[in-house]
Amino acid sequence: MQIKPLRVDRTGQIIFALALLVIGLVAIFIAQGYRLGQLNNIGPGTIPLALGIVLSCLAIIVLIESINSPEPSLDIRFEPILLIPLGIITWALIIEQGGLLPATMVLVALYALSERPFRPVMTILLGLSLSVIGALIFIYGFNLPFSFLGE
Amino acid sequence: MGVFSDLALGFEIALTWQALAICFSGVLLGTFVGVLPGVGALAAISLCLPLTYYMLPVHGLIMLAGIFYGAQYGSSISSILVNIPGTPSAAVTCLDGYPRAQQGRAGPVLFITALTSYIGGTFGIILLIAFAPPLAKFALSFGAPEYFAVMLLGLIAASTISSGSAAKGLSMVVLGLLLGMIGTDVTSGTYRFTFGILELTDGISLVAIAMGLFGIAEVLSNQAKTEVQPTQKRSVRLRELLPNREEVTGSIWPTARGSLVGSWIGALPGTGPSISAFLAYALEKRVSRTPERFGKGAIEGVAAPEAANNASVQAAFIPTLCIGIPGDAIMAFMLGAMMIHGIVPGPQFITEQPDIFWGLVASFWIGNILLLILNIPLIGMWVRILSIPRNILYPTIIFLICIGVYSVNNNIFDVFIAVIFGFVGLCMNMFNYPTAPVLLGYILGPMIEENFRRALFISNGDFSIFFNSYVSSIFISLSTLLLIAPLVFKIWPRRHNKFSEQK
Repeated sequence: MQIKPLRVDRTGQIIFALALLVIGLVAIFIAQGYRLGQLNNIGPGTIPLALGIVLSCLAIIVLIESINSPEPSLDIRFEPILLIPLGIITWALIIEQGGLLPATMVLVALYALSERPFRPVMTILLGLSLSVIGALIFIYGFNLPFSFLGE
Repeated sequence: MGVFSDLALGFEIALTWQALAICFSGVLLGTFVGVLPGVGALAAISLCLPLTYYMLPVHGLIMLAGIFYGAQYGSSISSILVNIPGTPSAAVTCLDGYPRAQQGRAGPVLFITALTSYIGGTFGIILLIAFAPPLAKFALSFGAPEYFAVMLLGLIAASTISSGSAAKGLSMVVLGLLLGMIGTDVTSGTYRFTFGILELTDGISLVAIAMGLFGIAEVLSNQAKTEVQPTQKRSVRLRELLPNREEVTGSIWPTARGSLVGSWIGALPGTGPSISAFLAYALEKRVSRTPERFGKGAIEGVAAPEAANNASVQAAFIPTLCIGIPGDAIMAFMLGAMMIHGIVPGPQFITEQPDIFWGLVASFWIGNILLLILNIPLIGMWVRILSIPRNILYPTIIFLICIGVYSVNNNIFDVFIAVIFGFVGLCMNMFNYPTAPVLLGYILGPMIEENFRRALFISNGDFSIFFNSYVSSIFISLSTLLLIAPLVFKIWPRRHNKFSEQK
């Protein structure tokens, strides 16, 4: 799988700073719904409200910094960013019903697809050995509540 | 005499075969992740936290701490041999360690590094033994305002002293504090920021955040790079290790100065091994009669920062264990781990649970001796680790992260949280935001809020309570100073540039 590298430049910086601003504003909005209390008996809403305000202000400063800064752009490969998290999520979805072996095979396979060149034999061997060693340590050693081959 | 009987008690605990085996596996794993660039001590500690649930609390702590200081030993190996620091604190070691290794002196530099690391570590332990009990006694007088002030300084220092934009660092601390608010408010029982999700009522899992930010994000960042660094094959033979007379005499004083700098800086809130190593290096360059040799393989430039970062990791336990306030993200994680095991670090910890405190201190000593043995005769093994191919190493790490995060609560929700934080951490790495302050804020958040609310409750809403004692006034003033400093320094270089342009 080969996709053109993704270019990360100032736009990415600005989006991240904006995301921080949104988190701050959401925190302010939600915290207002909690009891604020008085100074001698501060309620559960006050500190989150204050933190939301501080975060929003800092996000604005960071935003201005990122607009002004001549940050060098960098190229990143898109496949690992997509496939590795996908592998972890699939692992989690399979583990309880399907067991350690299928979950791990999918995880390792998705990882291998993000690497160049793709090595099918090594991937299968790695998946098998991780599953077996993992089963010995975690299922038989630590009694973790999942099985090797599913229910 | 008290100290010696206490230490004897500690060694009684740390010299049992289980404790020794656990300490050994801790420092072994620590050195392993230290050598590997891209996997830090925090990722390894959070991986092992679920495993320690099956151990006695003292054994669990011995293992986690062993990983932490073991990683400091290991990280210098990759700095010296391939010019890539194994952990951030060994970045300074690259400056002179790598050039000297290129001059054919790799073996002796590794030997000196192991030795100065041991001396630095031992110095930090002695400081811990000498200062922890009296400091704990002093901290008994701390009330809510003092706790608030010390934590505030720790948070601000950790986010502003690190290199880069102060606003970015501070915003990450505040983000961490907000993440810490998620869950049930201790004082009132209100559910905060749970968005109606049942799994969030206990807060976000500590392991999920740490693994996301420091495990998944690291793997993603390394894999996303377009230029791939080939794995390096190197070998160092045992008889190449012995340093010559000049190298030994040249390291004595730098090691002593480095140990001093590292242990004092390490004990301060908000600092850590990276800053200690950097300051020790700067000091050596300043006192040297031949500063022009630095950066070209000066042995002082390796000995001092290595002594400093190892002294600093041991001294970092002083505030964590005897006040209950961690200085950096790793110590904050250790604090979280202790609380999971039902241990509450603080002024009473040493007197109420002397077996755990002294057992841990004794294990540090044993661990450092084990590391010296691991690092000198077995150096060849560690060098070979650098040639493990990535397409085996990274899938294995990801696999362990999956199991580690899942096993904390046997809950796949935590795995999804870890993935989210993996993405967030990747963005933070790309855009130069520091990740450690997020974790520090997350762990300290509920504690600092509780102390703030309690202080104002005691004073009936009067803010002057924060200036009633010397301790809290000093710490709050220092925090304010740290907040103002970046503003001042920011204006300086810019003006300077404009001025020189006009010229």
